[in-house]
Amino acid sequence: MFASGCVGTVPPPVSPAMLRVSRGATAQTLEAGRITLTTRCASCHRVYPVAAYSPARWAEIVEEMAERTKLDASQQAALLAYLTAAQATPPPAPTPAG
Amino acid sequence: MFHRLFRRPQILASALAGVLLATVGSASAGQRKFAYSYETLTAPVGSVEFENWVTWKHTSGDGRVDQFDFRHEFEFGVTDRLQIGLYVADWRLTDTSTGSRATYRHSGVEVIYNLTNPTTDFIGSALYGELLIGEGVIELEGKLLLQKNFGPVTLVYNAIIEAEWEGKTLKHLDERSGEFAQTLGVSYQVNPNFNVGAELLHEVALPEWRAEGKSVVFAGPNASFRAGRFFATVAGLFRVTDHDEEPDVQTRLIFGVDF
Repeated sequence: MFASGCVGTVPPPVSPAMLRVSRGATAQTLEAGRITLTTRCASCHRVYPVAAYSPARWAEIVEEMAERTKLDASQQAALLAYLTAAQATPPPAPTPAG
Repeated sequence: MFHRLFRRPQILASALAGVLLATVGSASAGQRKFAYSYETLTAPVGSVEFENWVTWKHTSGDGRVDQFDFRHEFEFGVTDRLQIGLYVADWRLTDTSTGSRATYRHSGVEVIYNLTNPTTDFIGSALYGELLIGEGVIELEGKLLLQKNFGPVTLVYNAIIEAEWEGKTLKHLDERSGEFAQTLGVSYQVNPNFNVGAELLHEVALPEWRAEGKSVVFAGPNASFRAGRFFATVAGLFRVTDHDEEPDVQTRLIFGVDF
């Protein structure tokens, strides 16, 4: 239970690969979205892995949560931009041992 | 009793609460997962939350005492890392075999400053400061708050040092004492609206700051609920060390609402 709940729950840092799939969002916008996720969202509930939901489902969740937590339009857009870009970015390949 | 509610500390606290309420927006604050520990993330900028605490301590035996401590607090998210709380009034109801008595204790202010994030950093941390002033009592408290999130599991640790000056009036604070305490908590998110876990409280009295006093440990389960803008957190702790003069059990309920 703990292992399955822990894997992938640290939102990945904003990376060049993430920027390439971000559909024009800037690094500052993506970072603002990551901060919103790890502070505003995390203050109430666990941070779910970005791969837990599809982009369409994330859009529904962010809209619902934005209303509950009174995120303004720019915060909502930044959060959704980060979640979408993070999910579209494959995780980095593990470094070979030795 | 009620005329004591209009002494200077309460008036000041209420006035400050009114000023801050008039300047903030309407963002919602977070849910408390623990009754005896603070978490390290602070309230969102512009958020306002009203919390009501009741702590019941029961000491059994010939000297049966039931003590109820009440707190009414406004919390404000000031910056991304700074949270301020105003304790409008802390008061106590004591019930013994010889009768009951209600007394106003103090009002105060609390400040929490977030340092690191419990999800993205190695460990979450924050600093906490509190000042309480009442009739013939001043209390100063500092805490180091630590937290780590592992998916649905939250672990917290608070290290607490408290100093108290007490006397007949604020101008005659003849008695000094201190206390070191630490709390430990674990909480598991069953769903976004419900958490369960356990808490531990360890208190070491330092009378006159001279020698180590009693060391008492309490432990027990907790649960927290959230529905819309409301949340409730409750913990029941049982004394696990052998000090019959200390409470056998204590229970704290915190009920809050976001504005």
